[in-house]
Amino acid sequence: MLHFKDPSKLRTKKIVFEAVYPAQDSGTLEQLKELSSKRVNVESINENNSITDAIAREMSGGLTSQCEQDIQKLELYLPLLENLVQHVDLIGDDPLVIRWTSDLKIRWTSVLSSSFFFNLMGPRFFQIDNLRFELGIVLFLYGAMLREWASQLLVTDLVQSATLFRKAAGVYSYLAHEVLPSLEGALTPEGPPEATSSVSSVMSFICLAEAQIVTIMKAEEKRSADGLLAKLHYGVVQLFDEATDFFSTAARECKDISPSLMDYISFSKGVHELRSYKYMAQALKTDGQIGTAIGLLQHALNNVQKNVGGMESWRTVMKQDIDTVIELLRKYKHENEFVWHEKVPFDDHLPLLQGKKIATCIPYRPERWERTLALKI
Amino acid sequence: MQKATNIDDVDKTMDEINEQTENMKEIEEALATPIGAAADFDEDELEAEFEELEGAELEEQLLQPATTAPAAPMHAPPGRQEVRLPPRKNTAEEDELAALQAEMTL
Repeated sequence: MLHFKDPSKLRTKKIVFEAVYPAQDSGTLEQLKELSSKRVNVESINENNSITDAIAREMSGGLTSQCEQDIQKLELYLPLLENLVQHVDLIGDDPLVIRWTSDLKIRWTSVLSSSFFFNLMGPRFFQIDNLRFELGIVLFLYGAMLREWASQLLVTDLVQSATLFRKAAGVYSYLAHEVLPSLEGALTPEGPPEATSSVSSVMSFICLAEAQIVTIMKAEEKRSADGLLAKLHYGVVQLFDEATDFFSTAARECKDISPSLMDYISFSKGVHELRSYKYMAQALKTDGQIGTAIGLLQHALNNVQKNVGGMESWRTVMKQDIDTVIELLRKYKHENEFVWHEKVPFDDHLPLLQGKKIATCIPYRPERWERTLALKI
Repeated sequence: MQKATNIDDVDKTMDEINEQTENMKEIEEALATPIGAAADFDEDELEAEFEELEGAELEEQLLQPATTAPAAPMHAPPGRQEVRLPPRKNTAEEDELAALQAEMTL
């Protein structure tokens, strides 16, 4: 699987809720302080801090993985934040509340904008004076952390890895449909791509494709039939196609969206399409259609995309897959020349790839800390 | 004298031709006669047996269980042919997919 870790590198600046929202009673003040305390832990994500591994493990109740610790921080903060958002929504039209929210100075970096890569002065922070921006980016980071943890589990537990990718897909789907649509009015084309519904939809489909890739890894481990593997690989391509459709929308909405996300999608599509052709050819050869298998492999190599961007590791993986197909083609041509003498069909008489999309979202059900907040208006 | 010689030659030639024609007829008749095992078979009987065999084969084909035709693909461009694996492999593939989905809790 190709790796694209950028979405998990979001950073934020400090917020002190009780310094901005005036509490009407001690219970509300306590809750606002609890909110700020939980946020301090979120602010430490992706920051260089002096806490040792041992202390971090103790603070998290025994979790050893940095990724799991960060996920826990987000899961402890989100219910309190959802509660605040719900309460502020009820009084959100009051000019006083609007001023308080802008005084919070909600600022986050963006990992999907070009400035993330080219800003020599350090990361650029985007400020949007809306609590849904805070909720949206925290959820985006949560989805990214689930995805990162899923990638780490690839070597040890494929089932858990696929489940985490599906959970991440569910988080991004919730973000795209339930949280970010009401933020649209506050966005500008210069704003962070992570705050748009379309980018969340892109991420949701990427996570579904990755869940299916993990499933394919299990299927290959079990030596599943070539025909099935061909369909599953092409199903991955189809999921990335859906991500591409939403990326086109995102590119229209965000002036500054980085090409790295689209590079990742393109490379992944290319790799899995090639693998689908490979398995389809193997299935046809087993079925006694070596001529068609040869035609299919030739067609695959003629159509492989020649990407010039992307990471070195992606180009390496693509090259390895191309070399595998070249070797398979050489072997089949040799066998056909000496044994079968089957005619190789022209491109328009070759079979079409079929896909099966089997990965589905695990719906995200937000927890809300159901406590009353009374603010002094 | 020349006329008599020519007429004699013609007669002689005609006789020779007739003799050769008779010989050819005998040869043809000899070739048409069945020999060995084939000489023992009655053609009408053979034809009747062949028709019986054809009928039996047709009956066997009609009594075979019906197989589900594969579904046609969507958006196939004109001229592209759909090559599919035999239906019995699809069933095995579906079973394999179901087992994989169960294992991955999909």
